[in-house]
Amino acid sequence: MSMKALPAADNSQTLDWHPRYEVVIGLEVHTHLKLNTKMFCSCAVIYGDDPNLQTCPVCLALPGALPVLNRSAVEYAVRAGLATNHEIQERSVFSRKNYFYPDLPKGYQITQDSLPICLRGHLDVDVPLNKTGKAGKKKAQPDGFYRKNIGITRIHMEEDAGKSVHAESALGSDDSHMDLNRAGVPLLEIVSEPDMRSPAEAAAYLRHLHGILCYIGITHGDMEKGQFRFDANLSLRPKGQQEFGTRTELKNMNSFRYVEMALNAEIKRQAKLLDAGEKVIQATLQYDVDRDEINVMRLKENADEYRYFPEPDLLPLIVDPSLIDKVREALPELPSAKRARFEEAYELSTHDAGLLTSSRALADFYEAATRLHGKAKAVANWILRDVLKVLKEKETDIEALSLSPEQLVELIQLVESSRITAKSAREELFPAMLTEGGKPEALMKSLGLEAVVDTSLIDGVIEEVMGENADSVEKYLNGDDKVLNFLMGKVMQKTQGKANAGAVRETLIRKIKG
Amino acid sequence: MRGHLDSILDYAEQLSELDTEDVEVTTHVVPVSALLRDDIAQPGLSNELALQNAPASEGGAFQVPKVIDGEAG
Amino acid sequence: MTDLVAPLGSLRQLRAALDSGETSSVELVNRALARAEASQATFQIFVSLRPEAARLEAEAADTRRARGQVLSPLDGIPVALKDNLLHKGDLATCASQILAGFKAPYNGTAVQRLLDAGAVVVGRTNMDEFGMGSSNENSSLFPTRNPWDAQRIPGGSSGGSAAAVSAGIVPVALGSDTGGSIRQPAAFTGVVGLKPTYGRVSRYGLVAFASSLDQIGPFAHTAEDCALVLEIIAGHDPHDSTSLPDTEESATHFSERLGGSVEGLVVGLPREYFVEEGIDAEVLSKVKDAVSVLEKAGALVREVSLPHTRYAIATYYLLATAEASANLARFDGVRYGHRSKQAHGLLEMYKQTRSEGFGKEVKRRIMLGTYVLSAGYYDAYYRKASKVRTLLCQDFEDAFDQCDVILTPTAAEVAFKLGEKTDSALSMYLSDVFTVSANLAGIPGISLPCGLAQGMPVGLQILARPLDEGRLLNVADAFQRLTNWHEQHPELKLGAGGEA
Repeated sequence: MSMKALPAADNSQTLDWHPRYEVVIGLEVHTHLKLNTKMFCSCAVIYGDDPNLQTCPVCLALPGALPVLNRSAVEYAVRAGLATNHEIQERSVFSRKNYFYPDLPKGYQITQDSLPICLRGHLDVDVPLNKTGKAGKKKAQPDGFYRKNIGITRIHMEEDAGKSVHAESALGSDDSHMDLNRAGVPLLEIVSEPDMRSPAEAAAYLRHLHGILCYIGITHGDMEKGQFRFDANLSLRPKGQQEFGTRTELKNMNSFRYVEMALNAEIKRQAKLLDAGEKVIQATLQYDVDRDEINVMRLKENADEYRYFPEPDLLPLIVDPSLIDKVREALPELPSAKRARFEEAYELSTHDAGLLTSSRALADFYEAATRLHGKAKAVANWILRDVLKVLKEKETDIEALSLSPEQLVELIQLVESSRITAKSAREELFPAMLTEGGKPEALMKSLGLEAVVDTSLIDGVIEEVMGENADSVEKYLNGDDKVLNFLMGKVMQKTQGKANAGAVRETLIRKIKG
Repeated sequence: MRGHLDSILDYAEQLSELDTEDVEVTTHVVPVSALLRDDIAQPGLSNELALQNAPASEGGAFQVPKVIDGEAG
Repeated sequence: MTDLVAPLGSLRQLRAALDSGETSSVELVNRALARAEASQATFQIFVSLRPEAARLEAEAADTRRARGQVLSPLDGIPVALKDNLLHKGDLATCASQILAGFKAPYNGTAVQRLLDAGAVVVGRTNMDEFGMGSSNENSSLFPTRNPWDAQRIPGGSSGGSAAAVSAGIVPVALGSDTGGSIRQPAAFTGVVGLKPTYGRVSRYGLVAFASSLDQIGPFAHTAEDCALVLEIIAGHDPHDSTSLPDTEESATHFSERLGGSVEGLVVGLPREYFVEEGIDAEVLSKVKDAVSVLEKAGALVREVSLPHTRYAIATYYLLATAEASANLARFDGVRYGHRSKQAHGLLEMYKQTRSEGFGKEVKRRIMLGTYVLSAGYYDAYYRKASKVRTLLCQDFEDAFDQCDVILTPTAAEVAFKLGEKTDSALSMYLSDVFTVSANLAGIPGISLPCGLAQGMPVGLQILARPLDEGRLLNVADAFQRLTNWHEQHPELKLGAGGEA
């Protein structure tokens, strides 16, 4: 595999986000692991089940129950650590984080505190230069990004809490209802350095991290199910000041778009306070998407009062160096490396390569189709234009679509050999393939979509069109080339689009000039 | 109660006599590392058994009073 | 007044009687229940009995025996469980109001192994609430009385289990030992109590007090009986991360290996434990007599030093309460146990539930533990104690370089009178001085009767290296073959000093 060396990060390009203040953002990401069972017990991880069907003495915190660590969770943590350039710790320790809440059955969360499994990681993130940060939407310039190195302090393993179900009570009571199916679901917490200087950088980091974690297969990353969610710490400091300002924490976000909106709202709020000479008060905040405003959840962050201490029920975790080697060898090519390789090997723009590598399955699909077909560009065009459009419309991914690389390649080849017009292929055969399945050629025949290449038939229609549009013919002869398209359109109309456009054009010119 | 606690903490002060600068902490006396479990699901408790001891339950869930205003810390 | 049926005797005696057909499991269980019921008003040993279920299980054991399908040396034998061991379908309250009415939805591993061996659980024994106490006076139900003298405490926290064996109700009972909670009541009631190496017996299904110190162990009349029980309950458990792997070294055929002599055995007497000050003179002389017995049988006696002994109590209470403060957080009235009916709103519900549900000593220890873990005190208390724990472990390693076992008194005095120490929590804590070090270091310890002082039993404690229960039991067994203190039993005086 030829790998294009990644350009070094150039943090000097960091955007100047606010005229008076420098924005400082750090992110804490919680990601569910794609595992069969919970972190410390053998209960199945199932989403959307009825309340308390996936519980046992351990995750219900019954008296006398004890935690036992999930082996695969350790491997996943190592995988995540290596993919984000961390130093994997051979010895790490679990701790108890003590606080009372009904969704936390033990009265403490088992997590890792001072000795986590991964330390000192970083990512090189491409941040779109477009200030709205919506680079994917519009056609970006190949150089519409700057590269930024973002430090990651640590990754540690922990368990999720249960949740309140706000079901209508049959008895009309005003009580909460506690469901512990989610209690103990395995999580990684990924804590960044306060290295981001704009909401766009924060969103780019989150997208990049999300992409990597999905790529390496450790999480489904479904944000609506809370499988990838994040908290942001934000502070402002007057430009040139060294020490950080007072920070606030925005809790529980699960959308890349909303995180930018939330951070922008909080920047505005803090800047207004500072401008007025007031102080920012340390607080935990929540963003109200509908009203685009910040609400205060808690005034004081009582991190000091979690009373962390080493979990006596779990012995220190020793990660064998051979496991680290094994995981490293099995690590798939990561999105940024893959994108760089695609750019070079398939001569794609940064933007197109980015789209084609947006998921591992799509990238694999593209490469498989390219191998079959031979022409990378032609395959890329089809995927970028038609396949992605369908994926977006159907809000699905390539794995869920009933389309194989073989089918797509056959379709492209039918067009290339003029067996079908590009228009029919795109508008009729391709949608039919997705619903009917089967071989494109057979489908084309059964639907009567084959292109008309019988020139005698085309000749008749062309003569008919020329007769009906003598004035246009005249104009063309007088040098108005644009008229040709109009005439061609008429011919295509009469042949119901089955005529080969190249043949029509050629014949038309020949007949007019002849 | 306060008096008892003070006398116990006063008593515990004697540990400060010891120089433990270079001493490692002991959290576990077991000389082995964490036990790991394979990621294979096992049946847990039925909903009925899970809720058997609940002071209040409804619809398969534990019922608890809501946090009321002014309670949140 | 109810007449008492005769005491049951030792496990060895009962096995012989069952094997010879002289008695049946049903008869033994009936006798155990009758003796438990008759003595309850005076001694208050049990928090609950399960007569119907026990009789059915005894019948099944008799059927097995008739078919020649005896499961183990414990098959059909009546046993008692400390109220902090989970036995599916049965109550498990830790003698606390916060767990009133709590029915165990699963079996703890040690309990499961007893059941698989055919043992018949007749009832659950009283204890200091959540194991927090040294006298049984911290039970939220009632204080258990010492079978030797109902004016006195039986020790704690496993006082009920010790008393159940001492009173001849059952030949075997399980307890748990966090800072001496098996050994001290064994000493006070004249029975044998064994605290195994930390990790030897699974803690799964033992309601935690201090997770890094707790260990389940047996009470019986003899070292041999303890060996048989330990064989059954010991072994690796995939449900307990701190349970030790099964290896050659941890092999558990203890009973087969009994009967050796003490010839050439090096017995260490820690200088710091044999001080005139703070130890009852009569107790000290009985322990010295016991040392002489072993010496005459060929053991070599030498002085050793455990220099950090005086720091053990403080270390123990800081660590144990810290762990307990987290372990007891789960009792919040949400999923099980007591829930206050007085409260409005969630946080008030927690507060009220815990305030109503926990007893005074439990609250005191939760407060202490919360304090020593809180920001600003963590380093001075919790972290400091974790380091001193290392020094205490090192003390034992050094001492065991010079001897095979260590002998000490189990307690500095005989069982004290009810109410004698309840005024001062600290003086109660100090009574654990000889036992807590073994928990901090994770080493095995056993207490066995070695005489009487003021008419009350005196306990001899033997400590050994981690996983050296084989040697520990051998020495204890040898001592019991040379003496007959374990054959002296109290004569229960009903109505004397009890609630009546």
